[in-house]
Amino acid sequence: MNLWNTIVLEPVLNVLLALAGMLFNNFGLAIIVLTIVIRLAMTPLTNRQTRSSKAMTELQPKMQELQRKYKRDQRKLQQEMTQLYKQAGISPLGCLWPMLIQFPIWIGLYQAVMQAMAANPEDLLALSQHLYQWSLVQQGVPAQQSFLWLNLAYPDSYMVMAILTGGTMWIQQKMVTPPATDARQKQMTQMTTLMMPLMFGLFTLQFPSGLALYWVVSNIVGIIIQYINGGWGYLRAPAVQPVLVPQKPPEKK
Amino acid sequence: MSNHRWIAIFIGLLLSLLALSACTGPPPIRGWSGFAIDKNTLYLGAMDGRILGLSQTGRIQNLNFPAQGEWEFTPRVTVRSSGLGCAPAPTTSATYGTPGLSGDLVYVATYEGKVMAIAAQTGSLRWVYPRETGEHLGNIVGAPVVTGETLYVASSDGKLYAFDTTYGDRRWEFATSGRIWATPVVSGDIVYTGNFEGDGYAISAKDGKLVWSIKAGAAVASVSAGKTGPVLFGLFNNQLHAFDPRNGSPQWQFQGGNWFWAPPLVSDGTVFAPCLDGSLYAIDAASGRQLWKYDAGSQLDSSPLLYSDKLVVVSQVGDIHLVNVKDGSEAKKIALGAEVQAPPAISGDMLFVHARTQWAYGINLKSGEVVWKFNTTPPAR
Repeated sequence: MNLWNTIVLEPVLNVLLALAGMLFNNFGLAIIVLTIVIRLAMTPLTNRQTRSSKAMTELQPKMQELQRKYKRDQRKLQQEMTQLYKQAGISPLGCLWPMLIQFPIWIGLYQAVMQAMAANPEDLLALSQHLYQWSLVQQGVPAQQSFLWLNLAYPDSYMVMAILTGGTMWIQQKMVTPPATDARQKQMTQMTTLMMPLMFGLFTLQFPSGLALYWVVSNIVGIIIQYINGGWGYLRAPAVQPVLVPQKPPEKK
Repeated sequence: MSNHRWIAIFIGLLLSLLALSACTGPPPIRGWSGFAIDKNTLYLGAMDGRILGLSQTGRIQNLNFPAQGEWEFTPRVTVRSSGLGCAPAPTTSATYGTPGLSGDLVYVATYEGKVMAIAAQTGSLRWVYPRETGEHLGNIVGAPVVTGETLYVASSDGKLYAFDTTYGDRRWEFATSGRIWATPVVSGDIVYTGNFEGDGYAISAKDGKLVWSIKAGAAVASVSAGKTGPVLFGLFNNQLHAFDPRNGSPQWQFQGGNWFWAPPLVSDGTVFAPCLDGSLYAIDAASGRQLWKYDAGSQLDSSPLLYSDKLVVVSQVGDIHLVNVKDGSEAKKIALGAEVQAPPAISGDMLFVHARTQWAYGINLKSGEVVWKFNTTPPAR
């Protein structure tokens, strides 16, 4: 835990507070700026992840064909799949590792926002043990809680942040989630595309709105990056009809 | 069962879980009230929101609570709803400030933003401010301070309030530019306070008029003033600033290794300043020069207490340090073995400590023995 704090949490936390010190002690602006900077810095990784998952999607029909063909021979199926990936020049783990690298940074930013907010005396006292001796950091503590109509340490009573969090998350997911070709997969995709925004929207009703601000900004930047890379993506894609597997005609006796 | 049905059940379960999680919210806060002492009785805010009157005799004899002369009072709390059909839940009524004591009344200011007077003998409520259920001041972190017939309370709404001690009528209020968490200090006719915007104020105790104000340079964590000598503001930039109490002109600054969270003790021309860097600094009140430094090994969240020619300071890990006033050398160290954030209190040779474990301790400073301990959590009924 100490190692995590030293390597991830404290650098992000102190940069966040220093930014607040630079931005006239406006903690809301500091959250927005740091989220944008980190999100932009992660763009190469995000793009790589998107390209990999797109390539994997394009291979889906061929993969399904192979699965049908070698249904009874798993070994052969594996060999053919590996060959297919090789020919397409992609690695099945290609969309996973950019995500793994980003994950600790996002968790660090999430923790930093929560800690820096120091909504109650216990949190503020705990914060004292994670700060650098930078004068800008000391100027930013304790974080200013008011931003626009929000008190960043408390949930948004108007529910605007909950709607924004859920809405932007849904749009972002919709842009990158390819329409499923199989009826069962389609149901699962629809469920996850709906569940995640709903879940985060509900969380927003209970957690400090500073955290909601970070989620909303992160989603908006994600949408913009996706738009620059490939327009509205699958958000505007027409619904794909489920692939019908041709049935063999019954053999005449 | 068809796939559709399984998926519907899964979605239903997930939605129920989410709705439940939205209703529970973040964990409640607990507070860290210290003790107010009147002869044989101790008053404190327990970490479950109750206010307790404890008899020392009852605790030494380990009698069932409440023993004779003991009581508990549960402040009325406001219910809240998240607006999504969640069942109403009680709001947390934590107490951070040590209760105030005057005559036959105990004064308590809750984090929820209620100020109340409770009968010291019986634990019955005498008055509460604001009087209407559902109304409150901003969150209150600092302790209520009683002088004569006036009670002073500072709040996160940025205001310093003065109340009549007998009836709880508001005498005056003084609005500042930011949240106040520090306990106000009354010295003579002046009340000193400071806020998170870095402003320090000297206010007339009589009518709430501004006497002077200063820009401290960083958010104010603590305020202190002796009978003579400077007014001290402990800041979040790791500095302690001293000002002339007559006109607010700056006198000196002292640099620590972390925040001066708890107010320093001023005695005989020396400032004893506890710091979150784990050091107790002795500073010459006139010049700001460091006289000595004692390393407690863990952060000091509360003020030191004077015990004969020694200072008693309790570190967060629960070590009780007795330090010689003269040179800062260690006279004794008692390990309590429980985390402490609440300010301790002294009466005679007894030290009283309220630990994060929700246990209250009575320790004999001469022998270093724990004479009694009491679990402040209510027994299962």
